[in-house]
Amino acid sequence: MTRLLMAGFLLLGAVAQVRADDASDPYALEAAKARVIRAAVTRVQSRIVTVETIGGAQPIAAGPEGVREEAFRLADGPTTGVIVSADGLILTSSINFARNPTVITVTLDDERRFVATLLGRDEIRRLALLRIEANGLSPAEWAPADEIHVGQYAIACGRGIPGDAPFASLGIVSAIGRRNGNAIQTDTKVSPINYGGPLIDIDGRVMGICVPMAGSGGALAGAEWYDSGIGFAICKEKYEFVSERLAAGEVIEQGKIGVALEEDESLIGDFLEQLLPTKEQAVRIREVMPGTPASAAGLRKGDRILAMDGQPVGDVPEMQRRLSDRAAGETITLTIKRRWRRFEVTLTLARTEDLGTIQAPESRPDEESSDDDDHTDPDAEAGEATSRPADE
Amino acid sequence: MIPRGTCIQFARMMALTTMLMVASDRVLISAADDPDLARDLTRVRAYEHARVRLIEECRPATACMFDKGSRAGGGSGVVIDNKGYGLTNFHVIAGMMKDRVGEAGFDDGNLYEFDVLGVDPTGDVAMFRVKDRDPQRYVELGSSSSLTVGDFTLAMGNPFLLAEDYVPTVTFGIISGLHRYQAGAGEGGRALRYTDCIQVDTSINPGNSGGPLFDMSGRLIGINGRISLEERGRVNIGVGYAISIDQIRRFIPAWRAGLTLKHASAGFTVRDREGGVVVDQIIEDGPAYNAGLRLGDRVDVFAGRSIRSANQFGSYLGVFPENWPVRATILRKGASRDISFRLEDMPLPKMDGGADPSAPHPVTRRANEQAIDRLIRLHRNFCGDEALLARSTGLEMVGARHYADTSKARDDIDVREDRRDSIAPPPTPTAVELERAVRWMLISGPTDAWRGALSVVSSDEVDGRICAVVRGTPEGQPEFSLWFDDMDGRLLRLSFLDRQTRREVTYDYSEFRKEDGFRFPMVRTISFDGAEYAIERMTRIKVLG
Amino acid sequence: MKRVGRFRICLALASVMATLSGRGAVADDQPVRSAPRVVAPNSTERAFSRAWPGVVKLYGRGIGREHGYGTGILVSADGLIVTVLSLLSARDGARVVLPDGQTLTARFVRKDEYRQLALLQIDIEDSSYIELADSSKLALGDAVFAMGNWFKVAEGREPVSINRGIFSVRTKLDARRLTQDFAYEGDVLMFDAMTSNPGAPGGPLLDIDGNCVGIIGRIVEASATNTRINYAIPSEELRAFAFGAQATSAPAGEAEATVEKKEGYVGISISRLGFRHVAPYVSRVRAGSPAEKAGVLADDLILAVDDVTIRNAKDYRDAIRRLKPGDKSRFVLKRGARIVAVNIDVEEKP
Repeated sequence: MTRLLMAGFLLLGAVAQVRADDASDPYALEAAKARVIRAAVTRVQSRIVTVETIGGAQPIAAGPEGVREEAFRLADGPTTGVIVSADGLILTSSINFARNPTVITVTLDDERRFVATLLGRDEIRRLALLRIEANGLSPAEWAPADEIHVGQYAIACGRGIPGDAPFASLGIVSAIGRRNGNAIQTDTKVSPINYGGPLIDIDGRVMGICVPMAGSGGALAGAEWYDSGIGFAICKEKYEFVSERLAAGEVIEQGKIGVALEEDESLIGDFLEQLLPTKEQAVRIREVMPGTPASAAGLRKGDRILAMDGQPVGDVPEMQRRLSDRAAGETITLTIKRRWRRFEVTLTLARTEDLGTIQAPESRPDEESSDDDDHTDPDAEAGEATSRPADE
Repeated sequence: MIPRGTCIQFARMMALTTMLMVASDRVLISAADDPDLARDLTRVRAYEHARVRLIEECRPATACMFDKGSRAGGGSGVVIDNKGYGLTNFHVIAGMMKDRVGEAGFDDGNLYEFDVLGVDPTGDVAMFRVKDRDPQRYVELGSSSSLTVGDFTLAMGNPFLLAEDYVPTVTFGIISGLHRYQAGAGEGGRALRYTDCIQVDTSINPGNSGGPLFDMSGRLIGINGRISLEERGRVNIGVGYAISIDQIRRFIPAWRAGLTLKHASAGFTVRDREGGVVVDQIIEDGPAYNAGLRLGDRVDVFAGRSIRSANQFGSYLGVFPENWPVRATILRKGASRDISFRLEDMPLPKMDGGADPSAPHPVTRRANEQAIDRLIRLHRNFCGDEALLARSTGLEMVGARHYADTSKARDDIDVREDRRDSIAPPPTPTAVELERAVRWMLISGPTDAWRGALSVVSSDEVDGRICAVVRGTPEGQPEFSLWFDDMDGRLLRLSFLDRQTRREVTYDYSEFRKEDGFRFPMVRTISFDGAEYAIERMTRIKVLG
Repeated sequence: MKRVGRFRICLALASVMATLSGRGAVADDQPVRSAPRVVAPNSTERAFSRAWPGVVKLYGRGIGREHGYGTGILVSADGLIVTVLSLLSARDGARVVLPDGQTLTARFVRKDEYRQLALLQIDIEDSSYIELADSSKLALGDAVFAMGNWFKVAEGREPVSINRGIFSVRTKLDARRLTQDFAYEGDVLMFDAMTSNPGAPGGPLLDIDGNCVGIIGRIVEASATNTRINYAIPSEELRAFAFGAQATSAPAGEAEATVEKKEGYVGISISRLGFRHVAPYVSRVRAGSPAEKAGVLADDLILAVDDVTIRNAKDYRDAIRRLKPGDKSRFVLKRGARIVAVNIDVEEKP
């Protein structure tokens, strides 16, 4: 009881004092803020590590439209990781691991360096789990989800830059439950310097793990939005959702449907093109690969995709991004427009390596129209699928 | 029944108390270890809480804007009053101009249809109205003239269409610069031209367009719309631009009514000279010329701002609508004088596909009618209590009329206006009869005949207040124009062509005071053709009935 | 503890909170003009108003990534300006626009290829200037501000732009400017304000009080990731450059480049030495070599040489070339599942 009374008066006094102060002295607040940031980073420092990867094949990084091709070389410098168990599990981002490095090392805050083994990878959440042979480590303390609010300070800590202390960048929590519920969105500068590192609150508790999760998905880079004020950190709930599978060495892959997409021409004049987030258009199927969920569902070249899971789709990058947030094995429902007809199809997303082998189900939804040009016999298509080897 | 406001306040208090209760445990723990840090944490946490709360208040008014039925387009917007009127960029709704309809998602997770009202393709702003959202959540307008470089700001919107649940993205940063200029596009650079705009380092990305920029009291200070781009492509690099709210305010009354206003041109150009500007070219017989401006004159102050360069002048000019009244201080041969005149206009940029935003359209026609209804309702609320107005049968006014021509003695005023007589003016009313009829018509509520004859035609500024200009063209009566303060509905000016004298009669109303529950202007200034004729000062007004 | 007591406290707290809490959104017809409660007062103003009289806009030659405009810092009352080394600043004739709008033409004084700085001079008496302060007191979390002529959006008298971030670390930078390695090997100040933009290099980095702690450096990318870096050259380097006795400075190693250098010998063979995409595994240790004496084994993977991370066979070759006879060099190696470190006494090449 006394404790509570004390707390009450302490807080009352502090809050009243603080409110009086801040209006007249924003610089006192700034000094307090700097100290608080320092303390928070210090508190989490012992729970983050430097991850280095050596060797492996450097894939060709095809940049998305508008970005130079050779940009965003995969990180072959140090990145960051977070200790998630006392017996040596390290969570980091998957950005380094697409090139299958020969050697992975983890350096702790006390400078002890270990060789690490890669356990599992999650391409949806861009996470990777490592193990080092160490014990008695300090795992990161997570902030409870109900204590994370939009507008709170968010500090991203990273070991991508050498130094005694981690590199820290400051912003706010911009949104919660983004990217199919996987991520906290922040305007803190998130970049290769802190991918794999924690996004912490002012108490030094981890709100999420920073990962590269840019527009069009894809395991190669995902760093196109670095330092843009749009950053993502995978929340605790979603990490725990996959932690056992990762520890077991599983690779959770992005789901594919097996189409090439294109956009209709812009209806707005060129001078607006630079400023519009998306051209005014629909997403249209340019090509359906045989033996894929798309072909099995009867989708055709020229079909327009209006919505995914009931949410309208604006353009190709958005469609790709939303797909990249879903795993192989999950189902999605697409709202299709073919000429004047609208209908829905449900697809089960496939792994990349399974594209080309998917068979159409026995009975097909009743959407065939005798007016269509590319009329195909469902049986013939299934037959084709079984006779074509997987080449995607 | 406890009023909603109080319920919200109480709930907020309890939430804050709970948060503080939880926080107190943490404070006590660390207070034991490090009292200085505990104090710092308390302070920063309190500041954080305040920002979190501010966002909770403003975010429900921020819209994720889409084409109807699809997600094409994709921008942001913000609602500015409880009737659902809102603001966005023109380029966000440019693709919706055929039907003038779209859909807006809010953080309650729902989509609501909106109409596209008035647009500004040059300044890149547009007004919309959200239908059928109850309650309408909105934000108040702030002021951009009182901003300082370094002020903190919040931006809200839907960058990269990330808000699958329509909950906008919130970013936080500072004002990096003020009075910035970003050249327009298209023919003559007249499209999407950002003048006197706000530069911020608050993160703004494609999709934030049309969304709000708030100051840290939660007031709207700008509409975000452009960013500087670099080699990296279409992604924010720390430099964003917002159209200032002071510019937008001038256009709002016209946009509510579905009108498209052009931007102003000065009727003269200037060039740099010795830390200021001088008139370089001037259109003879234009308003500026007729007000006395000549070649070579130095323009020292224009519309309240000190002018130091031609670029600055051009940029500032860009914030005004066509025909806006301005004052300028001129220097000629060492002597300074003040002139007043109206700006002219410049053509709208050519729209792709030949669409003319000011072409008649059922949506804008309806918007104009609703704008009239709104002004009349505001006006009546301003004048007094609804019940009182309904009961009143007339008023008594006592005062005096002082003539501008000082040779004329003052006339005492002791009149009694009877409501029933007033609202039906004779077929050829005198100026006095018409003025009285219009005033009472507004208070009683216009008859259908009168109502159908009213339409909003423009925005204007009277006595420092932004007004909606309404034209009345009732059959058999002289045409008249009314200037209503767009925020509170007060009637500031009434003007018409007097048939008998063939002169423009203008009544300017000022010094509003509440008497007997009825708000009335105590001062009426009467002018003929712009020249002051008389001032009527009332000493007492009594409502009858 | 009793529930009732706790509840009473809640109420008491709540009632006091009532007096402290602020606005509410009103839903009736008349707009409510409540007094605005500002949640976050401006804390940038002090730094901005202190520094802007000493920040100048520069215009001149440009090509490609050299944008032909930038920022400079006035560092003396008689018109000395420090800026980054670029096409526009490495010559006479750069156009300088002062904060009051005056335009002057600058003379080139000197440059420092290592620090990537240039010194210009304008003819002015008693101008405002910025005192270069001590950057060593900066601590992680401190607010910092960058000012500059970004995108040349500010013209004439219009003030330059400002943004803010927090300071992180003082460290050495491993960066590239397009295809060239970044020459400067000293410390840089790293922070998260966005300064890697056209026009920003040459502007001041300020602390919360408006003290100039550094100059925003030329636009570079991190070698490892090709991503832009936000950094500043510390003010001590600026001071040494602008006012120091030595005209230009260079790392100790360069001075010795003119002296005939004896190559160091370690005795490790790496297959495909010098190749960028090859991991630096030890293929053979020469008998009797310093490496053998130190205990290096075949199949060891070289991770670091003297704290420099070795990512590939090219890095290893560059590291080896820096070694001189008599050096004691620390090699960090991966051997199987372990990390080991050895000290190698570098000898003269046999």
